[in-house]
Amino acid sequence: MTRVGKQIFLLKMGIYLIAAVAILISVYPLFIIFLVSVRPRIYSFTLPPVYIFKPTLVHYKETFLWHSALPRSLWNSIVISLSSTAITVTAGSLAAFAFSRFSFRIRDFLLQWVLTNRMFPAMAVVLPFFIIFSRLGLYDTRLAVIITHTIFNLPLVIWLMKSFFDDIPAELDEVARIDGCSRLGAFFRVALPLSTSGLAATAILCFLFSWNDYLFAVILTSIKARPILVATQGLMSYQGMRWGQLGSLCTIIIIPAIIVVLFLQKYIVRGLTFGAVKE
Amino acid sequence: MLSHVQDMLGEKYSLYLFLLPAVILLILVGVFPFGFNIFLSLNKFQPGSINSEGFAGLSNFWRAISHKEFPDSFRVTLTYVAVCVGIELFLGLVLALLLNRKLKGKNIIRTSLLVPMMVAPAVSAYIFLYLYNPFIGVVGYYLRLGKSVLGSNLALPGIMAVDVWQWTPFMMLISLAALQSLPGTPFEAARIDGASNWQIFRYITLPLIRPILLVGVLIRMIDTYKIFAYVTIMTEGGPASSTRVLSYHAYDIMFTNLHWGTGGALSLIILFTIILICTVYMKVFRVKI
Repeated sequence: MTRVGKQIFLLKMGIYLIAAVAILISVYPLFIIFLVSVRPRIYSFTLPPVYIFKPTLVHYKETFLWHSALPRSLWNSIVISLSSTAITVTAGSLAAFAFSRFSFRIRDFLLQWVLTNRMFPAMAVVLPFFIIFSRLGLYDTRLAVIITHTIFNLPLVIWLMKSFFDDIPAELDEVARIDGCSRLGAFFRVALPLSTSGLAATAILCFLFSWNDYLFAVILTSIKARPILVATQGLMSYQGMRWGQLGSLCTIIIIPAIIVVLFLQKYIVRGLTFGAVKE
Repeated sequence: MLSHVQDMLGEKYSLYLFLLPAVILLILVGVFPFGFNIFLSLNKFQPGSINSEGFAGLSNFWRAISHKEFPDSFRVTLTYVAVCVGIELFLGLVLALLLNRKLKGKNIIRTSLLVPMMVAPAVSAYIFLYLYNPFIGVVGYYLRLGKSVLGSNLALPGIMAVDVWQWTPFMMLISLAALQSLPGTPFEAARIDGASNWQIFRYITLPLIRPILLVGVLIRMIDTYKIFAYVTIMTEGGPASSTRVLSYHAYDIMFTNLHWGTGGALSLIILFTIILICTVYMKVFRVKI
């Protein structure tokens, strides 16, 4: 091998090594929490951690047998995330279409204002919601959490769907309008069908952000409407944390995240940058 | 039916039809709390009550700022933001530069680096609570720390590590996206002129990807400023307030002490400080969104 060829080979090996370390660091914590969830209790306190054993589902069984509220928490999470997604995707994609296709005087101002809602620290808006929902008897209801999730999901939908609509040539709706469609008709018959994959990606990201929210859920719910993410608190007991059960809950909560990563890879960056960075 | 209504309303009004639902929702969830916070911050209350006991002037703001934990929590938050965003930007950029070439298994690398980002921060907090556990956690064991991570002066770096673990991939991905969108010509020209790799990076690559990096940093600054789940789950602000970030401090005032007047003032302070930070940042670096 020539000298240059050897250098390139070494460089490649170095890069693979760094990539391997990066993968290890990023996957190991998730792997070990899954491991804890299927590891028999006798290995719980052994260090170094035991990696090879006969897996068991006992922690999953116990989690759902001992904590009678968990199935309801899981259901709460699903209802909250689905409702928040439905509301924000409907209202948001209509608005996104207007931002993409109409030009009007306060357009840029409105778009910026939409974005600032996403920027607001949740802690700075939660107290008014807490007080008003308590007054209205909405404290500890799913509706309360669903309403507050609009703050972060609606700006996401508006900006993201706007970026998808911008990708569709406006001439296409012009054609539809010449053929007798109204604006709304052009939206439903042309723009929406052409951006189904974008719409699906947006909806799934909304679902995940709602699913992953901790702050609003922990402050606005106590028992009835508590989502599964916050229900993990119930695993703290006087004997300390039940790690096996915690592992099983974490594994269940992570599943939607894994699905998103596997199927929506190319939309994640776009989603997290509000459509600003495309891949 | 709807289309007839639209024909009658005409072009201009169909615009409002599209915008109305979203605008109403955002006024409800975005403007209302703001107004309510102003009301809270300007009135006196008994703990846990919202029956005003008279106009308070700016005394709630004064009480929020002069609270003995406030300056510390502000400092902790700023440290947190600066350190985390700095490390994430550096590591993300380095990883992106290394991975921006033809590699076998690039997809596997990308996919595995993406996963942490989509995991709920609260779940990451629980996972690291386990990893940092002084008796059964692997971090203390493998690194031979001999002391508890979350119970010592390592608590803040420990929480920052979770942030870096979870969000470095974000900076890496947007850096990669920026690198892949670069045109080829300036690089060929520079090579022909005999520029070194470092010169090419410093004078061509970096200026070209700068706008996207700046947006990434802005997004991370906003997100790290409001950090809450990690601290609440892992340390509750301790030990000795060393991890008491602003959001946790506000949570304590509002929902443990039930001081809603001070809480309203604190909400507005948090809001205006982040808006100020972002505005200054965008002016200084000329970031456009």
